[in-house]
Amino acid sequence: MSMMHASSHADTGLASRTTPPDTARLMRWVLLAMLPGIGVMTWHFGIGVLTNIIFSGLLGMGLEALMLRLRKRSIRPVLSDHSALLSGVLLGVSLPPASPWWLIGVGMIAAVVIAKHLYGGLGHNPFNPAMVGYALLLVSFPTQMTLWSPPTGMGEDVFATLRQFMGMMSATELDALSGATPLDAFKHKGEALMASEFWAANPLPPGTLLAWQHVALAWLAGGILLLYKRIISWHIPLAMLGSMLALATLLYAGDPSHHGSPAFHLFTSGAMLGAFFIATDPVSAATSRKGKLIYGAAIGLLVILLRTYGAYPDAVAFSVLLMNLAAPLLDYYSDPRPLGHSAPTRGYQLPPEDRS
Amino acid sequence: MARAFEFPGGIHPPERKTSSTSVPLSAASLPSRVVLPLKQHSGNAALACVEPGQYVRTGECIARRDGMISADVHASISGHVSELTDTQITIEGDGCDEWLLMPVLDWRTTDSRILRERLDESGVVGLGGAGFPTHIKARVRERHALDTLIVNAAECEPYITADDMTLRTFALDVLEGAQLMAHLAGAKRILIGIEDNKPEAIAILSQALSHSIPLPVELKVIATRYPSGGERQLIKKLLDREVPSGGLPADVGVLCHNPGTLLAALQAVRDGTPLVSRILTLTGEALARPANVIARLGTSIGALLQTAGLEEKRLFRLIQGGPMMGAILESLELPVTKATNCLIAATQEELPPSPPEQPCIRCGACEEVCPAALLPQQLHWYARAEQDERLSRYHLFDCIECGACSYVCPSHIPLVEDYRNAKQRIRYQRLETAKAEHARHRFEFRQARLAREEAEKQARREARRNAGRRATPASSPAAGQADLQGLRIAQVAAKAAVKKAEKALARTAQQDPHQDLSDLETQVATARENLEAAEARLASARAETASDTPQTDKGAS
Repeated sequence: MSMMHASSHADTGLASRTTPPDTARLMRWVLLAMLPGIGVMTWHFGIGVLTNIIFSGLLGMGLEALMLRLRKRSIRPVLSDHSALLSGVLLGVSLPPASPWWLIGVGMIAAVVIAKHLYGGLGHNPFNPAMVGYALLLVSFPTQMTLWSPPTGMGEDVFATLRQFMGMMSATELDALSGATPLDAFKHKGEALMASEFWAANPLPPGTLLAWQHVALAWLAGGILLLYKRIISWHIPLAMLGSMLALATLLYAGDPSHHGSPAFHLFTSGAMLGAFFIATDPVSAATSRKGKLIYGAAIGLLVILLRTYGAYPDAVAFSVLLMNLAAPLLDYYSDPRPLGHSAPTRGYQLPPEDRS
Repeated sequence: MARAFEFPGGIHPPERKTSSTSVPLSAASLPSRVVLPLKQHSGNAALACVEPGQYVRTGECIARRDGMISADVHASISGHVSELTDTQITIEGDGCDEWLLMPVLDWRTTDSRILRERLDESGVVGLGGAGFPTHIKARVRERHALDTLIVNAAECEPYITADDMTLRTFALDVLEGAQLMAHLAGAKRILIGIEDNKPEAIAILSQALSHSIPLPVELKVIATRYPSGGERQLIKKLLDREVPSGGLPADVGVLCHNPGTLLAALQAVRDGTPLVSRILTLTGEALARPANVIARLGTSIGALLQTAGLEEKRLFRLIQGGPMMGAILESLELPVTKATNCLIAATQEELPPSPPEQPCIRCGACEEVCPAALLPQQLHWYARAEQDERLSRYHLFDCIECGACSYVCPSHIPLVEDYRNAKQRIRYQRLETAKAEHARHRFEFRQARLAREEAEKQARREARRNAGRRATPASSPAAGQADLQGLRIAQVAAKAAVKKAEKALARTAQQDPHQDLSDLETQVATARENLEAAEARLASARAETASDTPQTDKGAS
C-alpha cells in the first residue's frame, strides 16, 4: 500500500515537474493556459468572447451542481475539480462571439447534462462534452453558428454586444454585424474560383486573417505551457498537428488552386485549440501512448478530409467525436509490451494459450 | 547506459534516507522478553517443538518448519518459554544470553548437501521483507542452470537504509555470503546492483571487491529510480534479460539475494549461529534518534522505538517496510520479525493521509511510470468492475504492487489496493474451483501413506521370513530379476515425481508469495510417500534376491 503521494510532498524535487498534480490543479492549469488565447480573442473579436465564456462557464457549474443533486452525490468536492467550468469555457471559446444565451444554454445542457452526467459523470463520458454541445449546435443552428463577428477589436458597442447576447437582435442587424470565418469563406468560394483569385478579391473583412493567426499562436503558447508543465503529454497534439500538416501539404502540393495551404489549415482555424485543449481531454481519448499517437493522427487526418470534402467548414468537433468512438478500440490494439512478455497483447481477450 | 538496459517507467519519490544513516550501526539492548511468531516467512507456519516452562538457550530451535516452503524458528534469547499459542511463542529471558551454537563449517570444503541442510536448520529467509526460505533458493540448482548471482542492494524504497548500513559495516561478510550462495547455486559470477545514492557503501564495497574470491564480483552502480530494486527490474537493468511473465529469475539464469540474507547465510555456516537477529532501520520524524540497529527477533517494536526516542504524541502512523510497499502497523506491541526491515514512525505532516479519491480521468500518468509496462488505468477499471477475463488480458498478475501508479495518480486512487483485492479475489476463486481436485489430492496422499505403511510392513515381514528360510530354493531367479528391475524403475519414477512436485511448489511459492500452497504441499507429501514406499519395496526385493543368490549359485554348480 502506497503511503506516499506525489502531490502531498514538498520535497518531491524532480518529481514535482515530472508527475502531474491532482485533478483539480490539473484542470486549473488548463484553464490558466487558455488565458492567452482568450485574451487575444477578446482583443480581436470584442467582449462577446467574454460574455460567451462567462455565461457558459457559470452555466456549466450550475448544471453540474444540479445534476449532482439529482444524482444524490455530494456537490462540493466534485464541483471543485473545475471540470464543468473547463467544459463551459471550451464551448464558450468555440462559439461565435456574443452568441445568444439560448444557444449557449442548449449547448451546455447537451454537454454537461447529456454527454457527461447521463453517462455517469467525470471519467465515464465516452465523448468530449464540450464537443458534443458544439456539434449539436452546429447541426441544429447552422446560421447562428457561422456568424463570426469581424475583428473590430474591443472598441465596439458594448450595448450591441449585450443585446446580441440577450437574443434581442434582429436577423438583418446580425447579418450586418458579422461575417464568416476564413475557413468558411474559403470553403464556399465556389469551384470556378481559383484560390489565388479568391484571396486577391479580399473576401474577408480587413484584419481577419491576421486576427485568426494571432489567436492560433496564443493557443499554441498555452499548449506549450501545458506541455512544459507536463499537464498534457505531447503525443496527441503532435500527432494531430503532424498529420494535419502532412495531409494538407500533400493536397496543397497536388492542387494549390483549390486547397488551402498547410499554414492556412493550421493557423486560421480551430486546429491549435483543438490539438492542445480539446483532443487532449484524457477521459474521452485513447489511453496508451501508442493509442494516443494513433488517436491524434487520425483526428488530424479526419479534420483535413472533412474540411476538404465535408459539408461543414471546420471539422475539429466532428473529428474528435468520431475518434472518441474509436478510442476503446484503439485501447484494445495499442498495448505496450509488458516486461517479461515477448509481444504486446492485442484484442479483447488473451489468446487461449496464455490463459491460466 | 544503453537504452536496452532500462526497465520501463519508474518514479523519483523523496528519499529521506539520510536521517537514519548519520549514526553507525549498533546492537539494540538485549530484550528481557521476546515474542516469536511461528510464521515469519512465506509458506506454512512452523510447528512449535518446545513445551511451556521449558528452558531454551539462544539459537535453540523452538519451532520446526512444516512442509517444504516454511522455515525453522529459533529462540532469540535464553530463558523459559512462558507462553505457547497457535501463532507465537513467548520467552521470558534470564538475562544471561546463553548460546547454543551449531558446529562451525567451512563452506569451501564442506559438501553442498550439508551446507543446504545448515541453511535449512538455521531458519534463514530472505531479509528484504518477503521472507522466502533461503534453503529453497539454495536448491534452485537442481532445476535450473544458473550463471549469475545478483546481490540486490538497490534498496530503492524511501526511508529504508538497512542494506546500506549492512554493506557499510559488513561488506566483506556480505561478499563472502555471496560467494557461498553462488557456490551453492553453481553461478559463475556475482553482480552487485546498487543505487548511486549510497556513495559510502559503494566506496567500501569497491575496496572490498579485490578480497572476494573465488568468483569474479562486479559492482554495478545504477541511477536512483524507484523501483530499481524489484527483482525483474534489476535483472533487466543489470543484464538486459527479461524474466518471462509467470517465470522466475532462475529461468534466465539468475538468482537474487538481499545483502542481509547473504550475511545471515554466512553467519549460519561460518559461525554456526541461526537467524536470531536482524538489521533494521528505525526512522521517521516521530523519532528523536533515527538509526539502524541489530535487534533480536521478537523484540517489542514499541520498546525498540522508545530507545530511538519515540514521541508518541507526534506519531501519526507506524509503517513496517517502506512507504511505497510497506504495511501500516496498528499496534506498538507487535514484535520484530524476520520480515521487519524498516520501521517508520511518521508524523502527520510527514506522510499525510491520501486526499479523497476522485474519478479516474484516464490521464495515463500511471502508464508512464509502470515498471512492468502494464496499463494501470485499464486494470483499475476492470478491477472495480470485477471483470476477471479483462484483468487477465491486462496481465493483473504481472503487477509487482510497487505503488508507482498510486504515487502519481492525480485522482488519488488507491490503485494498488484495488489490484491486491482483485488478486485476492481471483486466488480465492481458483482455490474454490480447485477444491474438488484438492480433495482428490488429499485422498491420494492418504492412499499413498497407507500403501507406504503396507510396503514397509511387508518389507519387515519379508526380512523376518528371509532370515528364517535361508535354505528354501527360489521360485524363479529370472522372475526375481525382472521384479527387481521393475521396482528399480518404479523407484526412479517416484523420485522424479518428488522432484517434479517440489519444483511446482517452489516455483509457485516464488512467483506469488500470497498463493495458498497447501494443495501443492500435499502433492509433494504424496510423492514423498510414494517414493518411500517404492524404496521400501525395492529394498526388500533386493534383500530377497541377495538371500536367493547364493542358492541360485549353488543350484548352478
